[in-house]
Amino acid sequence: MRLSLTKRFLTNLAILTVSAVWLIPLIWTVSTAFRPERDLLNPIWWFPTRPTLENFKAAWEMAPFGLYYINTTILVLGILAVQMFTITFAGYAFARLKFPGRDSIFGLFLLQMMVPGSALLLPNYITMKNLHLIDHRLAMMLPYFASAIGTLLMRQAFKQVPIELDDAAKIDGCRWHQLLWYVYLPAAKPTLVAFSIVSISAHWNEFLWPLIVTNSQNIRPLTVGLALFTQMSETGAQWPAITAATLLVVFPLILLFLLFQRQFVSSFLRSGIK
Amino acid sequence: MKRTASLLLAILVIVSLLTACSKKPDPQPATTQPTETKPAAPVELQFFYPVGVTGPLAQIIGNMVDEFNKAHPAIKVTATYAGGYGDTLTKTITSIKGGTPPDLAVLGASELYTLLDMDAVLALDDLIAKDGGQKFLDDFYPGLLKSGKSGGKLYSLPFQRSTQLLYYNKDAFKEVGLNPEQAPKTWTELSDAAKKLTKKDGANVVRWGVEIPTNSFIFQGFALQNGAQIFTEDGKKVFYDRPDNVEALQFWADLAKAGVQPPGAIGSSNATTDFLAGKAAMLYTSTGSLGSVRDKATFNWGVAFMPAKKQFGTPTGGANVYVIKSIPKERQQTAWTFVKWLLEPERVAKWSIETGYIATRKSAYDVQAMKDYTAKLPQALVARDQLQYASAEMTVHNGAAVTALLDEAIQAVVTGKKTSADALKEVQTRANQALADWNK
Amino acid sequence: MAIQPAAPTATRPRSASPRLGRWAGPYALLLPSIVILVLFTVWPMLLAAWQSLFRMNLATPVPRFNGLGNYAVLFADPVFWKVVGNTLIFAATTAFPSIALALALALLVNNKVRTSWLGRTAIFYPALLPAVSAASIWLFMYTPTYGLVTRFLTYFGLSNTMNVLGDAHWAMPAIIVMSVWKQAGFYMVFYLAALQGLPQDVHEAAIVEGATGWQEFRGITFPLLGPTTLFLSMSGILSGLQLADPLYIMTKGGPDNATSTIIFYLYQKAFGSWDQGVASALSVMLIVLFLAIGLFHYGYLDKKVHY
Repeated sequence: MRLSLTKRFLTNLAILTVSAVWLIPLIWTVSTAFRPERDLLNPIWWFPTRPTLENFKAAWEMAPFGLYYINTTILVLGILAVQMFTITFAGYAFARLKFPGRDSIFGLFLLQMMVPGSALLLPNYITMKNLHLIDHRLAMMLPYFASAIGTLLMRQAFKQVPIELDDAAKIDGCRWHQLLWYVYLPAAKPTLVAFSIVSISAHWNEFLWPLIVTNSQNIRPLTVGLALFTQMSETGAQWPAITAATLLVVFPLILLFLLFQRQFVSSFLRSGIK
Repeated sequence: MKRTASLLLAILVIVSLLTACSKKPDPQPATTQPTETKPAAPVELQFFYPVGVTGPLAQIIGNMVDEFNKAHPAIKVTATYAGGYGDTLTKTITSIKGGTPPDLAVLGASELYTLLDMDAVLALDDLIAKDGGQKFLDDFYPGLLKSGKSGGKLYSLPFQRSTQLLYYNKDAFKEVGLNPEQAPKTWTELSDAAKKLTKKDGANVVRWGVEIPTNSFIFQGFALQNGAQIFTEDGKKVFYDRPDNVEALQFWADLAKAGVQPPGAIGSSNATTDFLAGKAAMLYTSTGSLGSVRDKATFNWGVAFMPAKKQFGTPTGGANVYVIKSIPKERQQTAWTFVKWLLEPERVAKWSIETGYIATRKSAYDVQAMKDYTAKLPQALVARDQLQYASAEMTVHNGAAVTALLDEAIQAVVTGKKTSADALKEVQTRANQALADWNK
Repeated sequence: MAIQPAAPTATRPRSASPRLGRWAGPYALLLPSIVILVLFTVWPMLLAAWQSLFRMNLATPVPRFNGLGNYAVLFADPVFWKVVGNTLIFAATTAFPSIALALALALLVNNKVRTSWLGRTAIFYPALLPAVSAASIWLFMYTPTYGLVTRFLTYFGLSNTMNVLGDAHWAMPAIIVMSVWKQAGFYMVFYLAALQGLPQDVHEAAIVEGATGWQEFRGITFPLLGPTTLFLSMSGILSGLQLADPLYIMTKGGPDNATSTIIFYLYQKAFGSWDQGVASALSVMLIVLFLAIGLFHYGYLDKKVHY
């Protein structure tokens, strides 16, 4: 529907204003990060007159952000890898198989969706302690290996596969894993992509649980690393360094988002609404 | 193109999984020098430390650890920055409980009772007796050493210790007609000076007379200056609501009411930044920030004893080095080697010079580098000189909960929500409850 | 993110293939998930319930049975009530404004104008940031004297002495503003998708009938967005109830617990004061709360809103 010229102008203006407001925090952070520490309090706002990379260098030296990146990557990809298996298997079982206790087990999955991990921080920490996994990567990952959301999504996707394909494949002598691999997974590919993006973003951003179960630096993820970095001077007076560090953490995310915008947005949508 | 991308992703995913499942993660220190090939693998020590003041302390520690590792090829210390004092304590305890304790940790001197209640730390008396003995101990300032003692045993040695200091901007003093070599000595002189130093521009404040961070460490200073203690040495009782303490907190809050100090709850690093930017003419903070002020101040500055009411007074803050009890006996000896090295006079002097923390050993002040430094920067000696008026930081059982109550009261008063008397009385009751179990 | 699952018995799936059936296939497929779910969802609930009945703190290294004593301690603690109040207020004041704003923004951005893309991107990106990064950015903006927000407010005549995060009255609103900034975009894309999925014929009928934009919105669009609104409300409330990450960076729950929330308080009790008994009691209360909300959502609400 084509708006009138005035309406279009006003709409554009409104959107520009709102966008500016939403972008200001980021722009301000970028501006401060490139500004030498001496200029922190200058009234000159947006464009640093003497742009410098010294803050990034300082941040990089004060804490091993490269290592933190690697740790977060390993964390999210490791979780995703296992989830791929568990949600596929469980999704198939719920979509296609009949067996006693199915409803109760389904209830178990529902339970995970109802009670978030944050309510279970303490008892899960105790479990990790008893499993001798404190300060081990698996501690951050283990609770997420099963995903109720993912299972349900896969179940929905699998149900769309015409049952005739099943029969045809079985007549051809397909074994169950071939059935999954050649028939069901291809049909569920969009769902898998969507779920991957959601899973990766969720676990990339996780903070409190990794904070609790990890101590040493060599498995510390970005979120914990950044948080501790801001504590380095009791709520951080080294703003240029901290803004630089914050940018180091968010820049790749934003870049990925800009490149794969459509997939990001549709992934969140797909996993939310039926 | 798409195939290679998915292949790459698949490889990444598999590698991640394999790495994740590897048995014990390889410790990777923040900075390492490559060590020469040795016949046997070095003993690896884990060392947790906090950074509680403004400054590049993590790098300094990293450098010191590298130096140690080079000089001791049979030992490899990995230093892990673990956050502020609270975080470092949390991480140390979760590591101990999780079965992967660090070998040593630098933890708040005031955390002793919490650590003892958890039976987490080793008594150092035996190790000291074999290696240094009484002569070693005598070299430490007794006031600082005391915080590690309990039940006749010594559990920690002073490493990064501080007192509060009054930092002041000499140029600002000159500007308003105050003597730049004479810092305020009493509470009255402080508020008078602060009034003169506050500069306004309409409703905006261009410069505050004084800026005081909002925390219980500062409060203890005020209490001591008013001649009052706030806790018993056995760590079982606190006296928040004594009239002298109430008065101390009221004086502090009144400074903001008088418009010479910023309103609301103030973080200590914001306060330091404001001082360095010339937005506050006087600053209450730890001597541990001295190094940072020295490096960043663009004006003439000085430090002085905390202004007195009935007497000079300051708590001694900072952290001690502890050895964790649950590590095997051989490692205790190795850990001790590192502790001893860390506390050698040259090292103690170096740490003090670079940060501003007090050199915890008397002989450190005789080290040449230190003598030269203090000749050039006499401010570095003020904290040490103030030690004679200093008292231990509040060290009590159930420390986190009891201190949190005090912080609550201070925040309520400083933000104008409660009067000093009401706030302190209210938390006194709850503090008594929090300590009830130890007073049975 | 909540899902509306179809009732499990809606379709009749075929039985397993003979080979699969012989190996009790379904159970094998489900076993890994079941193990994880039992270990990290069911077991912790039981463990928390059990431990909440014991006195376990720094003074009591060996746990001692305490009945409901830990709960009594919590109910008698003024900070507990403060924290519960804060959490509920926070959840409500973040969720609903975010959603309302999201709807307005969605309607704005849904127009086919050149800046639509910019609007969508600019409003959505904060949702992707880790909470601690957003908190770090806003902490800096709220800093007195030179923080961006402070500077901005001075243009409105407010003194530069404003210490937003250090003020008992303004600290929570400050965090709410940040949360809305962060979440609105996420909700907006859901509304956008829903708007784009609205049937065109109803819209055309409205034009024919001569309905104004507002009338159309009120009578048609908004009701049709019902399921989305419900879903987002649930999502918003649930995530609002779990707020904790930014507090670690910005206020540590202060001043005077003005910004403390249940989960942050739990963290302090469990890993600061090491009072495992009380922290377990707190966990149990949280679990019950979420279960109640979950059952309400799935058992009751779901039936009401669908067309």
